[in-house]
Amino acid sequence: MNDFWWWTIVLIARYLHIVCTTVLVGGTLFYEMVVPLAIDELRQEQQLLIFARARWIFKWLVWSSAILLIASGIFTSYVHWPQYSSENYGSAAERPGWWWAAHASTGIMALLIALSLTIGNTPPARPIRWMRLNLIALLLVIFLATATRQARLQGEQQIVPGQTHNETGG
Amino acid sequence: MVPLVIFSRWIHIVTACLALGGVFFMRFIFPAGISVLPDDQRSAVFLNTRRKFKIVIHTAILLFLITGTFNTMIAWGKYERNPALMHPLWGTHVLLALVAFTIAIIVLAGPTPIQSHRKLMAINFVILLLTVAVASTLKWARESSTGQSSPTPSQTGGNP
Repeated sequence: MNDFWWWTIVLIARYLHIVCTTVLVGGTLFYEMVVPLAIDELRQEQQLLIFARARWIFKWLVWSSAILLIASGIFTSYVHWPQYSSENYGSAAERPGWWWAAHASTGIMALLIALSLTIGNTPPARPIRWMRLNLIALLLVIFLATATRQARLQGEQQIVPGQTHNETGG
Repeated sequence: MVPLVIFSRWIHIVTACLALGGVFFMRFIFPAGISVLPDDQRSAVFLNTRRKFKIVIHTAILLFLITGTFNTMIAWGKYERNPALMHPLWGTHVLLALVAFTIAIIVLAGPTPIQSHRKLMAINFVILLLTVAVASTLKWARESSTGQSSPTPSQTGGNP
């Protein structure tokens, strides 16, 4: 595969990963924080009806986002694996591999919670509480992704100061 | 400085989630959710949600401007390494974001939405997607310019 197509796929994977994250996190936040306030004055059966219908539509969004996030995440991890598996770092906090592991495991946990909330015809008990928990987990996942990237970039600068990454062959 | 850089980038991404996800939910999911209500109630619920959404979007614009300015200041040195590629990308990203802000402010201005609010909201969603695409490309260009992007298969004989 030539470099142009390789980088095009890398860019598309990154783009999909970010877009799916934004739709999933923003949708969850809107569903959990804005909608309950907006429909507060309606009768309870009407509130449940709106929640049920929105949940039904939100379901396909969660599932497609989850599939795309996992696929693009696996691909991006493969691309950056030399940095994640490298031993040439100082402390544990400087190792991008540790941050990547935290990001991936928390991300999978958050996706499992999101998927479990949309499985079945009726929501689980205390759905808002679960969504709130999931929202915090998703925000943590984004933080860990940012930290992973920072550790990766910083680590490379420390390993080969003044020398480009491509010159070292990874 | 590093924690501040991470924090600023995190806030920028979370704000993007708020804006993009909120626009998607408000334009495509929520109207379908309240379609089961009678007309008068549907309108009241929509206006109530719109008021809450306005607060979210105005806060998001403020956070975008603060964190975007800070992130640009931090990364500007890298943009100078390949200005022919990165300045147009950065400019396009900022320009698209400003167009999206303007549309959002116009659509959410006043107590009731303008007639073309649905169309403008859909257009804004597409603009926001393009903004993210340009930002991703800019990030790739920045890492490439400093030699921090991962090697291609042709450089490593098939392995990443």
